[in-house]
Amino acid sequence: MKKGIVSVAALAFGLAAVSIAARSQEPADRDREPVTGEGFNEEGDGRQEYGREETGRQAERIDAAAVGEILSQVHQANQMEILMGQMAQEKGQAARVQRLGTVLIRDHQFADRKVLDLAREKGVEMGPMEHSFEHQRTLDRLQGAQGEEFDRAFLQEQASGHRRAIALLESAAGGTGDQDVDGWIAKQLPILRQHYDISANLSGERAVEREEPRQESPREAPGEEE
Amino acid sequence: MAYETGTQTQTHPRGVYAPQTGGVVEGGVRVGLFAGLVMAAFWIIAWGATGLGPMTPFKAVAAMFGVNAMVGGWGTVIVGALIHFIVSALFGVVFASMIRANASKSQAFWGGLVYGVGVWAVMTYIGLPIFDSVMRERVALLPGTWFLAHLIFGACLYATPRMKRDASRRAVARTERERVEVAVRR
Repeated sequence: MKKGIVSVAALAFGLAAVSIAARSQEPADRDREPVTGEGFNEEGDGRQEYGREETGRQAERIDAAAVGEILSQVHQANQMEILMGQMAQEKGQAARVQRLGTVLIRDHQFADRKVLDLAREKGVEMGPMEHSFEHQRTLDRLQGAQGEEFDRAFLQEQASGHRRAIALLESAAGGTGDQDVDGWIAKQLPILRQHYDISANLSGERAVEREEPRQESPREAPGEEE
Repeated sequence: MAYETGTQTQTHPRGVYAPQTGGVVEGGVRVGLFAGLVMAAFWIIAWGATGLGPMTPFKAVAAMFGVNAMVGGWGTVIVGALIHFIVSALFGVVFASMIRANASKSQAFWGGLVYGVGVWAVMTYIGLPIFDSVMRERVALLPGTWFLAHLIFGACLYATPRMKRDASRRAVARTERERVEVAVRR
């Protein structure tokens, strides 16, 4: 009997220890992860943070901007992510890329429903869905890619696209003057960071940043699909 | 009717039980697994209905080992479900150690609901922030569902006293059988 208690407790402690060990071996803590690229600036100590300079510049614009503009931008970004997710499901070669497509579709459809609900509550009218030149170019580039080339391009686009989205929402966070919108942003940001982390991990971006050998995207049998 | 448990004999109108550790652990694990199963079924239905994916909670549980679990396959789902059931069993054992074996169903039900709220608080403010930030961020999207899932877990613990008594009876029967076998061998 005592053996039973000891076994259950040992199992629980074991799980906790393995979890902590696994997370300590991840490239870096997600909240403090140095990220390079568009929308990100470098600190004097060589570390970088999510769009600090960009945040400062955008904050003034967003202060003045209507809540509707933010919701509209987020709505467009959600639609873009849903399209890209569908592409990943159809064209992705690696099972993980296909599943990332599924995660993106589900999360961004869920987020978009909330955005549309908020817009309705606030009496904001969403403009017609138009892809920017940048978005269209990305979609065309992915449409033309095949196999491993698609996977690589898709993951890189996801990482850079989510960096931009994180920078946009971080700059708007707490400063829209609307509690509901601020609350929604606070819940949505961590999900975008999850998407960024997964894309960066799978694309090997993190490994490159840490000057480690680039890892190939893991391949799994399609039978593992959910 | 009474049983010799080796150290003490106990009788009760609801049956014979022995307040031994075997009843707490075996009964607690059984009731914890049962409550965890019902909770898992609720999760699958609720998360599926929101469009976030029926298996997402289990992947999020498995994400305690890394965020890439969110794009894992069925293996990841099984790992997440196993962790969920281990934690459920653990909380079942703790509840079984707190409630008397002769408590009524309604006492266990209301006690279980309160306990469920306690488990929700422990998981929300201590467990997830320390061990699984991915899950914490995911459940923040559906806070009502997360809370309700723990109420359901707590409500299912109504069966704890009976499971404790049954486990004790089995333990007593095992002891009795072993004693007879030893006597026969002699």
